[in-house]
Amino acid sequence: MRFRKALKTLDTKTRAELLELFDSAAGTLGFSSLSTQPASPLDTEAAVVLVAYLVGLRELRLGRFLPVLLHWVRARHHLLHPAKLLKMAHALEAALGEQPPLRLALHALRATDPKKFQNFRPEPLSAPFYAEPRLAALVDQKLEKEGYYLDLAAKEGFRVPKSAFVPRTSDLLSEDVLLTRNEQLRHRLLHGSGWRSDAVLLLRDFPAMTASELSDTLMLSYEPAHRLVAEVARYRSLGFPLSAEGGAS
Amino acid sequence: MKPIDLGLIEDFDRHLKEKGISYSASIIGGAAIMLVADGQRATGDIDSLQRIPDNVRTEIATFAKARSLEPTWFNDHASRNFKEFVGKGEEIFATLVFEGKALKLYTPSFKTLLLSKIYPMLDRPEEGKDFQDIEALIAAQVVGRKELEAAVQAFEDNIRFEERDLLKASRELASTLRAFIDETFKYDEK
Repeated sequence: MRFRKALKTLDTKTRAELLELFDSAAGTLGFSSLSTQPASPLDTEAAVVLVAYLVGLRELRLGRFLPVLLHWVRARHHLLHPAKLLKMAHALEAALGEQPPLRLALHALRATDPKKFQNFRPEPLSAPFYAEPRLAALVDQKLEKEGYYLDLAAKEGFRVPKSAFVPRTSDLLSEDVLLTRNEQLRHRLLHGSGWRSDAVLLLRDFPAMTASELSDTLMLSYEPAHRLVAEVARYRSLGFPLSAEGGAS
Repeated sequence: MKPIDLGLIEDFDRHLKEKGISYSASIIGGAAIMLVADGQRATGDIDSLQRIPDNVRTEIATFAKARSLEPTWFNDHASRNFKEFVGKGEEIFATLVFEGKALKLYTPSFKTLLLSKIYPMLDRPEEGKDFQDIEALIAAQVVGRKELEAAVQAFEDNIRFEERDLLKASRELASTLRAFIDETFKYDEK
């Protein structure tokens, strides 16, 4: 999926198309679900950003997956590529405006691993966020009693009480199963979660991919994308094939 | 719209059939809403309203292990607060929503299904899912004004003896739901 291109068409998709996209993204991350089947995984960071966007669309009625997303980022944060996630998050907001569920996920990541996600400092929301605005009065009563989720300051704008979103282990596939299904994540175990790891895998599967396409897909600047394409091309030209795990065979 | 994949439920049905076990459950929660309201998505758990018999519980665990699922994917946690939203003498096997070879899933009356969504709003008002599930039932034309009003009335009848704090929140919720019903059905005849 070319992420930049996908962003341009998101707000033109039908409800059915958006739900299908949600199924793919949720399947990529290994959300356990009665209503989805394993499909070809998307890019991991794209899946996180898309799920956050889609759970925020009230007409899709996917609110039950916001706690699952927050659970996922807290439990699987070690598999994420912070710089890529941040770039994709910024691109989504630049295209479609403020996304409270996405910002909450970024806060959750920083709370979970402050060192790895030290740059995750979303701006405070421009308007208070209630997952269910019609129950704002009840939420406010809870906030008064227990304080804010993740100990966020009130000025951040998330009207979410501290005890919200209790994680349920049954909502996520185990890490073993997730890694069995998702090659990109499996590959990161070996090669680390960096641009090169994702690029090598893409260039193995799509040998004709150009630097511009790689840049669009990974939200990587053109220069480093061009360099990676050239390096992989040189590796291949020397007669070394890329193995099933994307490294030298 | 692409039909929802019920693979997990169908596979469990086959598993029970192979073991020679027949089982009928009355369910609530996201799975029930998904089965009655087309296009709704559900997480991976099924909530039975009644205690699951030991032989079925064993097979749930065996199936879960083979599929790398949590053994609680099919659970009876809701049976603990069953009396909260199921009226005395009420039929809980009201609507058949899945019929396999060995497994049958029912939902209780729609009033009960609605109450199973209304009560949790007191504990988790910050989560959108309960209100959204009610909206899904309305969108699927499974419930209308009459069923919603009956559910809110039953809720109000039950909260009269609650302690002060809870009573205040419960009244607030009932009032919100009544406003929601009026807004949703403003063009319908009463």
